[in-house]
Amino acid sequence: MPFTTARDTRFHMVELASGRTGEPVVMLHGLFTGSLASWYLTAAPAIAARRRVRLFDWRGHGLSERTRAGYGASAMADDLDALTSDLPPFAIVGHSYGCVVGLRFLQTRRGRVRRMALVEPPLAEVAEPVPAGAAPPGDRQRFTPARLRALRADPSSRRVRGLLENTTLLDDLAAEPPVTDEDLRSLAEVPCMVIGGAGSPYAPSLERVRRVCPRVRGHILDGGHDIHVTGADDVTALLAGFLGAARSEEATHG
Amino acid sequence: MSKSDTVLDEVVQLLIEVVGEDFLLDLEITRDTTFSDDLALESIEFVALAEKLQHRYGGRVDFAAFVADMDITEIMTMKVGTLVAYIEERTTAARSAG
Repeated sequence: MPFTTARDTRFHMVELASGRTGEPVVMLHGLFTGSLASWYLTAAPAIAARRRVRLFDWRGHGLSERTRAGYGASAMADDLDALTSDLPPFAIVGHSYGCVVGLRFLQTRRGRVRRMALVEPPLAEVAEPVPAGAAPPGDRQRFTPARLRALRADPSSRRVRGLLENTTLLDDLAAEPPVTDEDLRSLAEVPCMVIGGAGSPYAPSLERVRRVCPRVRGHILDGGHDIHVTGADDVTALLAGFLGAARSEEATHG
Repeated sequence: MSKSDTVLDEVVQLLIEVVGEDFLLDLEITRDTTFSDDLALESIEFVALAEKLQHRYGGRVDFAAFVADMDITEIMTMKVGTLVAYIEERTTAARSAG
């Protein structure tokens, strides 16, 4: 099974169509119940028909090692950097918190990202200005006691329980600085597409991104936060079109 | 032992490697066994099984291509026999071509 060690952590990493040349695609999953399976069993095989695709489980997720700390977006962007150091500039496809990490990576590793596809980015709840002196809004606010209880009660979520009980993940998220409009303007540096679920609590994210970056392509599909799973066919078609466009642009611009 | 039985045995062995022997104790895995309902396989474990199949059979088995046209429910509710049949078909085709 493909494991690699980076930043003193053992990561589970899978590559599809590894022999394919051209712009690779790195697909990032979300937190808690997310794993690389959410892409491997949905859009990744179709994208791999034309692109080299790299998938990995974030630390503490899927089959990667669960470390005590290191779950903030900046730290995870460092993980992404280490896990893609052998790749030429690539496209990022992120779901949920994977989008935030991808954005932080884009901001700090300019030139390494060729395009960004954000699926259900959780950017709506940090849209409000932070009152002076108030603590910055953190992701912990999203995890209500009822949601945490539901996660713990789910028998398939033993990994989630492990994260909640044995790591600093929630504290790391709470300490995470909000994504500002200035941060979002980084998305204008590369071709960018946002896909949202009409029934998702994060649906306003698309409106916010497009207000800040009017050239971003946006699509709202029927579905919720897990639109990449429940609406896999539609999401895959949009991603394939967006990522496939890279070939003609490469041909045009050399 | 027929070829199908051999492939089934190999898939069972790889499943044991993925989820652990204890988990499958007292559970007979047949071609009618489903990955989700019967084995309670998590999606990431299914990926791990796919990787092991790829390692075992090499380029003869392209699991990503096999599931490319399925939705995630179809994949997870798949019977073990469906996967075994695919492997058998692919390995037979490779042997014929070779």
